Amino acid sequence: MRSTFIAIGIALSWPLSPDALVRLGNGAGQWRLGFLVGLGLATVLSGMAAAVIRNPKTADGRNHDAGSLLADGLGPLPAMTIVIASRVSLALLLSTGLLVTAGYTFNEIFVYWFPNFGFSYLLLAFILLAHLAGGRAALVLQPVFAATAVGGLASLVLLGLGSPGASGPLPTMAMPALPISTASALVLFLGYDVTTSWPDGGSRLPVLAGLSGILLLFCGWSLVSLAHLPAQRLAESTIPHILAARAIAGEAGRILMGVAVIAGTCAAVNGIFLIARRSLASLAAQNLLPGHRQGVFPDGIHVAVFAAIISVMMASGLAGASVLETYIEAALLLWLFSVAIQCLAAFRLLRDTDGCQAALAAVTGLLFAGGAVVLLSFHGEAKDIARFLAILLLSVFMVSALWLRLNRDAGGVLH
Amino acid sequence: MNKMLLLAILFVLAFSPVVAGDVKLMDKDELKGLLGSRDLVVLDVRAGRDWSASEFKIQGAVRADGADFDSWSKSYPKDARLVLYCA
Repeated sequence: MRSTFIAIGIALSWPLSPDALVRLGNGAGQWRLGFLVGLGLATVLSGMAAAVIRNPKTADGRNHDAGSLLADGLGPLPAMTIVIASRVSLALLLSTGLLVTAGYTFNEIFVYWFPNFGFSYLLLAFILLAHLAGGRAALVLQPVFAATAVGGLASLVLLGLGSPGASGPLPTMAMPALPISTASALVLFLGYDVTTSWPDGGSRLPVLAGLSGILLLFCGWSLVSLAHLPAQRLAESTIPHILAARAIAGEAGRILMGVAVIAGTCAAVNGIFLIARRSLASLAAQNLLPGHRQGVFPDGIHVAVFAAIISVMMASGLAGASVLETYIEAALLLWLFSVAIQCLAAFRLLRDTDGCQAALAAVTGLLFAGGAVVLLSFHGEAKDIARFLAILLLSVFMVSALWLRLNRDAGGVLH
Repeated sequence: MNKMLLLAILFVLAFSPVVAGDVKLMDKDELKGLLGSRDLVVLDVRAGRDWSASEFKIQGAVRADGADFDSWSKSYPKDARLVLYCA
């Protein structure tokens, strides 16, 4: 049972983060009730991807993760490139942004005299300590963080449903916006592609349960937000969740949302560190992690390196640079794209044994790739995002290719 | 609003040719006394998450890119008092 909660907690790392709440609020404001349709479609697609990626037939009796699925289906070089680039960019960039947001939330909602960056560093140190304590503490804390964030949001939804709305009747949406609203919603559910090393960490059930639960929460929050704030204000705000919480329950609403934001940040940063650790360890076990001998993966050291780099990025003022948002968007799109690639890998593994599942994998992969392309093409910083991704992927590709070449020359065994 | 002012680091840029380049700090009480003045322009030059993650904004403040001073500074009268806050 505990491993089920951990699996759900990890799958909800990103959906419960404050950045996801901003996207949710903006989406609800922009597409109104139609965004709920987009959320529903995105949940179905995410469930399809989870079912494909976690198909037991692709794992050959093992507990499959992104690294081994991609290596088995597409070969070692694509596996190294996609996994290292997507996991490390998320761990460094998204975590930096989320910690900064949590710092401002604590400063402005709870303790005015406490420096926002001081709180960001405290949270980072706390999460780092949990990982350095052997990793088990980080795993056990994950469902606690997730449950706290869910509790805060669910309380606000109930308060919102129980109080009269102030923004008039709920508006509808135009159907042509459905493709872009669905693609935007797809990003909100990312995390179902991650497995843990716990006994049923690769099972599909906890993740599908998590997806259903988060859909309910997102729909409830979107509805009460639209009922209490004008849609345009939600669409344009950089903190729609805090505005909605204040509109629903005043100062008590702000405090509840503050708790949800800080717990959601802990869930996201801790969860993303766990995901990165798990993915890199899996690559190391297959001798696919540059700089690491096969099977050698010093536990916790990588998180310490992530924390050190994040500290430097925060101290250097990256939080105050708009380019951080571009990089975070790129990291999220790469995550979405990596799901498409994992579906493609599953298709190649399944096509000879299960034609029906292989077809599902191909369709799902194409839809996710299409979603990533749609989001990139509609983004105002599309060129910068594409440039960043090209440099990132090319750099990791070259380092990975060099590592494979060195291993081959040294007679290393890849599998 | 008062809480937000506690966070602010304020700079005053004098536009007079005689004192051009003379930039001084302003504390929150001094700014509070000036709010509402007709020649006062408060410019919010916070960027990235410093701005987007913050709930508090000074009422009437205008967003501006601190690095792009030369372009927007010309749009204000020379005798205007420009107050920039960045944190």
